[in-house]
Amino acid sequence: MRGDASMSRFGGMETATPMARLFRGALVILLAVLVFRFVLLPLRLEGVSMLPTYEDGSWKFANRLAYVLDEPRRGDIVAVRMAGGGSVYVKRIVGLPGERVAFVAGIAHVDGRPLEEPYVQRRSAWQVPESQLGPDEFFVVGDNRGMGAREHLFGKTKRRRIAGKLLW
Amino acid sequence: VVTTRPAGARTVSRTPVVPAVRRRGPGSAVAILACIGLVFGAGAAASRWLGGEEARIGRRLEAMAGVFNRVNDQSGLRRLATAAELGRYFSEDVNVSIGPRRIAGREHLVAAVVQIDAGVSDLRISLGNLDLELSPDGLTATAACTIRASGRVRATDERWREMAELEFDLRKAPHGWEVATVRSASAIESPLGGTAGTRR
Repeated sequence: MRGDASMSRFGGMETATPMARLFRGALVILLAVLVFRFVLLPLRLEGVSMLPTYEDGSWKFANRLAYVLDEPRRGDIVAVRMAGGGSVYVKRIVGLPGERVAFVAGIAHVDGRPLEEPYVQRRSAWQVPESQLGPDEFFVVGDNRGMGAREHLFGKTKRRRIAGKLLW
Repeated sequence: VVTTRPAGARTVSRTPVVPAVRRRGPGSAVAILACIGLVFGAGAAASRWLGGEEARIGRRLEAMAGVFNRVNDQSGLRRLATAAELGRYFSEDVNVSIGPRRIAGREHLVAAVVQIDAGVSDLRISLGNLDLELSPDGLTATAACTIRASGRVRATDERWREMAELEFDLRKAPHGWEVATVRSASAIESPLGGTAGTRR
């Protein structure tokens, strides 16, 4: 008898009542609200600053919990929160707190040494003076260095502005 | 459904929640949904109660953006009148510093708004959510938000969109919050200077 009940319960043969379906639907909605409010940040990318890694118009997710226990690392692609939190910039971290970052002939230099960046496909000859990062500052820049430095938003951002790490 | 009924004991149900709903009928499902609704409702009410002043400042800035949009829709005397109405949202000694542009005083600000011609038709601005810090005495506040502007370039009829972060210092006045300072801000501070406005 118990075996029959289990078969009936988990075998998928029963048809759920409308109320049970409604209940399941409510649970799914609740779960989705919790996940998208506290864990995943859905992003639709606009702009070309992350080419060729990310195409204009592509959809991505940022993991809001990525830096709860860990600190952002060099090479991470992160969502940098604009005021109010409704929009973000998507950039790559090249400089960590306390470091000095400059661009010489289009090549990023950290503490005076050139940085190896295999993800950069095209480079313009950016000449950017050295920036000293504070204890809670990161240096972020897009992967598209083919565009002019004055058309590309990059530079220092505060740790509290980093909203999460992009998942892929 | 599995139940055990030892002699003289009450019925004990080991049924998982969803099949239990199925067994007990629509009443229990409605009760569970009502509980979920109650939790959401209580959360919303608490959020509104905690964010009272924030909501007031947000509404004030939204209203200001609405008046600004009306100014852009109008011409001639009506435009002047609506721009003067916009002045009510700012303090007499307001300071505006957006990019290289500096404006000091409410009268100069209203005059600048009347003269705005960005070469864009159907210009609309909207404010996003606010990051708000209230002073302990509740009489001043600093608000930061991302403003979205959109319209059509007159020369080419192409769609135009732009986003900018702004910070406002506000003071509480008898008729409501008024803006004392407006300045541009950016989540990313460029080593080349300037504002993020046209960068990607």
